[in-house]
Amino acid sequence: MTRVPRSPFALALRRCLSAAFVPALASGLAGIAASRWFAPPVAADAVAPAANTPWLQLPLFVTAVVCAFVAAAFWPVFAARRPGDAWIVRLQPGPLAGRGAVVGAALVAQFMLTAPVLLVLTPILGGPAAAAAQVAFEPGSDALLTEGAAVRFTVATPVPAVELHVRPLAGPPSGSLHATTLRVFADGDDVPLADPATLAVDQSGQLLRIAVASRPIGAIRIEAAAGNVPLFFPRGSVVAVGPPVHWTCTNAILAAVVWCVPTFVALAFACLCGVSAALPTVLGVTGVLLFVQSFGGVGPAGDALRELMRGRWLLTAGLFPSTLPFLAAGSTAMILAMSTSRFPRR
Amino acid sequence: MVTAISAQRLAVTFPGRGRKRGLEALAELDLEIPAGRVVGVLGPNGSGKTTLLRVLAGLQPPTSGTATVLGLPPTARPLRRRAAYQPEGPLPIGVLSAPEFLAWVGASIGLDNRDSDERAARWLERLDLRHAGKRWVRTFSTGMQKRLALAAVLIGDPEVLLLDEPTSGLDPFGSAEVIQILRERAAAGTTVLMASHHLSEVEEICDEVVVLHGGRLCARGSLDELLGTDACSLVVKGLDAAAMHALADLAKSRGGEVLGVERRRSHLFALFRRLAGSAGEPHRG
Repeated sequence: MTRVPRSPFALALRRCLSAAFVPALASGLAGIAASRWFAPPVAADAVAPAANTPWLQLPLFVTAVVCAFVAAAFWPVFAARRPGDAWIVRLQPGPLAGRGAVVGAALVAQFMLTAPVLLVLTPILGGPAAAAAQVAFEPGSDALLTEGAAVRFTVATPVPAVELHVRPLAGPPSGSLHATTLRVFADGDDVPLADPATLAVDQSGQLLRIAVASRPIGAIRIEAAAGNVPLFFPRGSVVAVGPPVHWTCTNAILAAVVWCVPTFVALAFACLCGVSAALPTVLGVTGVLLFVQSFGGVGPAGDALRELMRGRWLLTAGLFPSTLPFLAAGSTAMILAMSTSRFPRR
Repeated sequence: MVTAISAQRLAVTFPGRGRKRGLEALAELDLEIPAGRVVGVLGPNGSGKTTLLRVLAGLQPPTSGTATVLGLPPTARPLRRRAAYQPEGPLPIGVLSAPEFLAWVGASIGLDNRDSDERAARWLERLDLRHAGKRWVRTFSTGMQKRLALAAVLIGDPEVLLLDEPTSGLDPFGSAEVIQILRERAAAGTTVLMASHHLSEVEEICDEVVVLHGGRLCARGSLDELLGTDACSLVVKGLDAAAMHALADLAKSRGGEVLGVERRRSHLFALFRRLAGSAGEPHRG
């Protein structure tokens, strides 16, 4: 009996793990099956693991929703007028009456379930074995509109690169379509290519992967050698890819950490609206916030999985700084929940 | 005598919404309860019984006036263990088993794990909840939940017990057991303040009662003071009607007042106990 969990954290952690284990497993298997059945048609030699990102999002979203819902329903003071809340308020000290510990437990449970899911699913869904630092060149945008024109991109300090990724957007050609062929110069040197045809662009968003001899690169010059397809280079369309030195497992764990941010934000706002709202409203708010952050392109969660599948080392992908506004919003909601609590301070 | 519970000019008004007037749940209530007393709080629904207990448990801030429990404000942290509150209604965290629930309560009031487990085992045995095993609390019957709630408030051996309808939902055996436990606690010096609609139980265990109506104190005193003790009654058995009338005449001739002659039925609890005893003790809950 002495091994019985006693704290709100331990109790909520055990509850979230037991409730979310089967959904996480089932949705992971469903993701694998769906990726096989609904695989997008790609050329035989094309490598597009990021196309499988939605099937990786599915188990993470399901696990996050179950953990958040279970946490909110488990601890009575998450919503107003729940039976038994007097016990909690009286016995659990602090302005949040244990809700902080329960939120922490939900996040830990989610991480404990999603990290293994990501570790297993990333290679199955075609993710690379190793991750590399990727650095986008500046300026953010430029255009190649005519044959013979050139655009130049730089970074402040030369970055080690083994590959360049160029992904321009294409406009409508002026006459009959002739793919624009590019020439690429790294620090003034023409980048030798095994197959020059691989630098012909006729589709918008077409990814050109250009292998370079491993060395630091400070400036890229791209020249339109032939063709009539105007090309536009939005921010992040020219990227230097470093040598793959980071284990994808570590990257998957980082992605699982990033996925805890939406759950934290959702549960923090659940705390806030639970000051006066009943449980169905609290769960509704939690679900909507999770959905928007997971699939709506709001927040870093979706980007984290896409970059993971592309083999981008997440610590240099700018994802963690982008979580800061969300963490600040969640923290503010928690502080407001504390200060507007309907319970007397103990 | 040391005062365990004190309230001075205690008032609680719940604010109204829109044009609705606020609700005065307690008004100018003065109350002193000495340590070791068992006091019943009586009154119709909405009279302020639960509000009074919630204020003393530190769950409801008073609008005005002051309240202290064991000389401390009701929200003082030491009172989490020294004073226990059993609210009416279901238990929280319904997905815990009874031992897990008591372990959480024990940890929350600062009991050592081993001590908490020993106390929990003792109370589960005493309140006949051992058989519940690992069943979730939310699958318990109302009676089982009430007994577990009582175990939870008693696990810390508190000096003050604040109980809101501690026997509602219990079968007669359960009620009798709760009353017996409260008697034992009172004998050990625990101060008990219990709100109840079960007047017979209040009469059975309370030293005094407080009667509230509309949030105001209507009456307060010992049962002897409130019910009167100067009259003696005689209950007889085995006489026919003629003999009963003769006895009544004799009483009148000796200056007594005969209020009525009636056939009394046996007490329902006695019948229940007799029937249950003959069929074996029923499963509780």
